[in-house]
Amino acid sequence: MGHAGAIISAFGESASEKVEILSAAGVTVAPNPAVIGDTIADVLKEVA
Amino acid sequence: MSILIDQDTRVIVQGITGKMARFHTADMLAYGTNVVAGVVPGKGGQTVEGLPVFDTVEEAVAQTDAEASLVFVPPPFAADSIMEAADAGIKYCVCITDGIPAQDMIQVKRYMYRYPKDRRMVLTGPNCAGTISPGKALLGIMPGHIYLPGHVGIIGRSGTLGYEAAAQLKAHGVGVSTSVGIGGDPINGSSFKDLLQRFEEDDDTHIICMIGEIGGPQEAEAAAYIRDHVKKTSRGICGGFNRAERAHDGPCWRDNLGLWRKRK
Repeated sequence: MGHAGAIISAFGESASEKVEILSAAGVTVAPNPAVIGDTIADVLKEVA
Repeated sequence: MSILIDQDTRVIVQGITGKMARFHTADMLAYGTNVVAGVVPGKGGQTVEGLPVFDTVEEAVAQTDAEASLVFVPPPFAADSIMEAADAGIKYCVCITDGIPAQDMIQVKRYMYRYPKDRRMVLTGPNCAGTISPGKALLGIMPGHIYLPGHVGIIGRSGTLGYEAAAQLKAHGVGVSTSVGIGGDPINGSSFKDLLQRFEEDDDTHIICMIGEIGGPQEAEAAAYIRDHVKKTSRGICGGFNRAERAHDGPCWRDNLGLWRKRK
């Protein structure tokens, strides 16, 4: 069935809206999956 | 410390006689997971990878004191297996099975609410890669060697993006406390919010990496929870997003529940 949960059906369910909502809550958002490691390493340096 | 599982967690595998279950059971044993038995109705008395097979979860729990269960049962019977585990006193259940009908999952969720909160089984998945506490235990189908033990907690809807995060962190020399897959299905056992709460309470997790996806309200709920409740690690939370909004068109077309909707 794959990812049947990955269906946009309401406001706040698209990637750009989710990025906006999470950023507003103070979450650092990695712009794409290729930089997850870099983003976390950066945040860890910042926190330390 | 880690969340949900560690090296002492006693694990049973439901559907252990299947081809995939055998393969991954051998993999989990090699990783050091304390797998104690398997359950397949009608196949009690057999052995798989040297482990006893029982007919029911109740029997397996009585004989082995199992606390956690991994479900490899095919979609038509998987919901029943999850409910059997919940009833037999299993504390934590991971369901790997992909393709469980959403209506079956509604039944599972309702069934689990019969139990008071302190006795209610924790379920992650279905349609997930499982949970790993690196260096301690692996309960699922992920490749154990890409995870370094450490202090990053990973929660993801997508299994492969979870692997991607762990592999990238390993390249940076950064380790993982526990990585949990919550699965790609519309109705799942535990939400981002449930697991954020567990990671927030875990002293060994210093930073949380949440890997979201398009669709569903869970990321927005998680954001509200992070804003109001996640204090200790709030600066360290990272949401990696698959920005390719059309990436999962395939499953929409194959969805047999009529849930497909036109994208914006």
